[in-house]
Amino acid sequence: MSSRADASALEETNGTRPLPLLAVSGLSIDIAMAGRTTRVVDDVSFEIHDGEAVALVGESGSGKTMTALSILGLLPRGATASGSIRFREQQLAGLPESSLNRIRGKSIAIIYQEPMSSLNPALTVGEQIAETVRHHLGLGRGAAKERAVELLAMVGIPEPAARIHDYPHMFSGGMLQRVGIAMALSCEPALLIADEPTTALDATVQAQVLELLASLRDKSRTSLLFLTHDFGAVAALCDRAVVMYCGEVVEVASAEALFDRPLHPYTEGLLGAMARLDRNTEPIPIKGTVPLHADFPEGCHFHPRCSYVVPACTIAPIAEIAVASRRVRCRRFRELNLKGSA
Amino acid sequence: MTTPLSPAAGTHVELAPGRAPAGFVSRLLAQPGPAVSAVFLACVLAMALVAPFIPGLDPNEVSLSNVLEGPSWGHWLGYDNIGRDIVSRLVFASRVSLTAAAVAMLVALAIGLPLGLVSGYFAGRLDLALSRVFDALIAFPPLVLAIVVVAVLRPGIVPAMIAIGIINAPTFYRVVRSAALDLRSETYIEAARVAGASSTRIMLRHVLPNIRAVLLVQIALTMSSAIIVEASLSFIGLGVQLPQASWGSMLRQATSYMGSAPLTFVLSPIVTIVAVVLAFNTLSDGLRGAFGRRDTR
Amino acid sequence: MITFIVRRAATGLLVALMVSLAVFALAPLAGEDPSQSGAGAGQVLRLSKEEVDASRRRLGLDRPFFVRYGDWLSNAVQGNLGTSLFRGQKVSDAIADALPVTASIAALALVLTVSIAVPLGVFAAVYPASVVSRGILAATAIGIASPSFAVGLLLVQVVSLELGWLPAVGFKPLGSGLAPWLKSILLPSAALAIPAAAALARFARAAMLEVLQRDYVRTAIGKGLPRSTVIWKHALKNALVPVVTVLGLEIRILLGGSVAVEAVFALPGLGSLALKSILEGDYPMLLGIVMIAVTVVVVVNMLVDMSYALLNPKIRVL
Repeated sequence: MSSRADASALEETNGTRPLPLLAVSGLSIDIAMAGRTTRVVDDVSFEIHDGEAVALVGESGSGKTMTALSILGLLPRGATASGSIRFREQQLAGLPESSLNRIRGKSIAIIYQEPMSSLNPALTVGEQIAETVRHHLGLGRGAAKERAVELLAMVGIPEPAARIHDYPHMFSGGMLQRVGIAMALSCEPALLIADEPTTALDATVQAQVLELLASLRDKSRTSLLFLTHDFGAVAALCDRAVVMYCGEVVEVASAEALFDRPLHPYTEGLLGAMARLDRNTEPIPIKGTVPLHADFPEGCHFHPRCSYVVPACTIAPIAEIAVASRRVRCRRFRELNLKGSA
Repeated sequence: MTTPLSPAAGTHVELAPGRAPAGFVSRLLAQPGPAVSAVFLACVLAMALVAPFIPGLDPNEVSLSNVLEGPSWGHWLGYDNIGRDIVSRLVFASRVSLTAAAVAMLVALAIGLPLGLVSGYFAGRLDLALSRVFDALIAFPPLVLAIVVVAVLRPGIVPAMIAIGIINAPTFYRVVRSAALDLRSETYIEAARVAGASSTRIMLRHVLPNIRAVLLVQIALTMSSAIIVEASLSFIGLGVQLPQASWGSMLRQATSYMGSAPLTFVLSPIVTIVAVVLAFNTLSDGLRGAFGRRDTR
Repeated sequence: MITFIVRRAATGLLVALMVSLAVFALAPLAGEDPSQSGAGAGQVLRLSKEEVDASRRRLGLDRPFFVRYGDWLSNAVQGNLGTSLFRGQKVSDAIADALPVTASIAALALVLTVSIAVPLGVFAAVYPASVVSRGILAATAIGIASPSFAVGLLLVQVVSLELGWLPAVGFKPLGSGLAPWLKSILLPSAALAIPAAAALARFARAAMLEVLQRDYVRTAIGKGLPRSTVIWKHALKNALVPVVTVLGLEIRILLGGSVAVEAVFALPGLGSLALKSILEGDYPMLLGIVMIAVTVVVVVNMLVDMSYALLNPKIRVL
């Protein structure tokens, strides 16, 4: 994991910046509901380089899912996105359906949070995997079926040749998520987006799926955009992290740096709220609750819950500041000495 | 960037099954379709009520010199096969058809409402037994059942009304039963029971008022169904008997003269039936919407 | 699966028996004595008391109720539904003659209903904002409000009388050629199909709208599959499940409506036969027809349930 991060950090300091695999720039998403328009994602920017695993960290309501869906144009009706989403040289924002379909499932694939509802109950899992490779790779029925069996084996499903004929409801949650992973990886995408793939699973199963993702990543150069609210998963899997709160990016850093010393109070709060098995300290929840989109506070969105708030934080929106290879959206980050999880 | 096939961000307002929130009439009339339907139906009803008092509107006056004549001033829809004014026949037919439908609906209500209440409120074995019976009833093609009932009771308007009432009773039963089942577990019902109120009292004073909403919707829908079935029965000769005019019996008459009669002879009852049924259907949709539930209709 | 079929068949049988019992029991309530109904409506035959008694004894009507019923039942299961009081014709023969007529229009009506309703419903769900979809909603609203016999009358007026394209009355059996047969049943089937298709289209639209909001549709889109595949393979397969259930309901309504439609087009089907037997008081005939109708309804319900199981893999395991 670190070698890749080192490599890109090295390239950055050398001045040569390879074209990122994915470059999201100034992405904003508005949702029209009951006659009102609410901005749920505001001016979000981040990059993913080849072979990198980037975590998109945030609680529900942070806008991370919307951000991820907008990459492939999967926003629900009533949601409009503006800004730039570059995949290699291609601009994805505003791309017509036909061109987008060439990328979906092939160069960029998604794993969803709820495997039970995101797989079609009326089709066998084998068929759902096979149709993807038939469509994108032009494989015939027989070859596609073989590939489906291969993929199921790769994700650790026993008796794959028999299981391709089974329907989703015949799998447990953990097994079905493996199926989802198999389906997403079927055409060897350059970028895999995983939307909280372990959240809906039991604790023991969570670890297994994370292990699977880690081992798959070791074998291939697939980049990963990993959505989560669990820093444990970030530590296990990711090179860099983008922390979101109330639709904004509040901090960007390498995972190591983030754990060692976060720059944003929200990140510090999240780290502190993490349950740790190797310590005797209780997790400390962040006081207050995530506000609804309609009730975002003035100034810094986090200020009502922040232990370091000063009057200046409550007046004007805070801009993102870049420092070294990190970014942070906090006025006071230089003077604060926040606690990491070390 | 939005995908046409993507899910809709819909709003969903859900109230308890049968509650009728305050101000529902204004909410009902705020929707254009239901508002127009309500006005239309009111006009039809008014017309039907005052018809006997309007001079010149005589469904039985025969004018043999005008047999099968087309529309003209004063006789907008022309004359039928024995020279009767079609407009008058149509208006008086409305009285018959609407009354028949209303009586049928009341019969259905009288059977389905109490049984549904009892079934839903008491549940248990009584509910099981009653449900079986009504399920069997529903399994039938409605018109076939109506025909069988009329066959047994001999063709005529009263047997037709009873028959239509019987075939619509199961829907009232189901709707009332499910609403009652939902309400059973409400706290105020429990409270009343604990306070020692008798079951009848609870059903009448507490459950019944709260199912007003679903009941009204079902009443409108049953009127639609009753009008169509009455028209069908009368058309085949098992309902309203000629020379009495109902929309269905007028059509029965018109069939024999289709080649030679003016178009209005056949068209006017059909248009009237479709318009009135459509109005009742739209009204029921509006009622559903006004009571706070949004269907994807 | 087998237990499922057996259970359904048993319930169906029970319903059929109940109905036959009911009709058999209620017939005398009409005050009509089947022995005297042989005179038919309109004919007034003065029979002396002895003649009435003799005829009653001949018809076995002086025996107790359950004996008569048992007799009828045992005959019925052997295929003997008795003899028409009016014509002396065997009930089963008369039904056998009339059945193909009703079956033809019902079958064609079913095909028409599904082929019109499903595409319209799917279109209205996939393109909800288009003008065509709004038109579909309006048209279906009108269709639902129209009795099938009224649609039939309109079709006769326009297609037969004004345009002269198709015959207004009469039935040509398959034996006399495919084209004449189709021509004779097209209008009546259309009359039945149009209101049924209107209702089914609305339902298909609602079911499709429901399904299109599901996560797995988003997954299919996210895989880059072409829109047609997403709609027809992923969405429709799931939307069809509730549609098939409604179709079962529709079939019942179709069967009922065929009585009035047969009257419009003067088709010698089961409907007209039933009508005649009611007006003439021909109870054995009526009973026979009702039994056939009930059997058909039961079989149809069973078929619907079975196809539901086919479409929904979760049920299949049962």
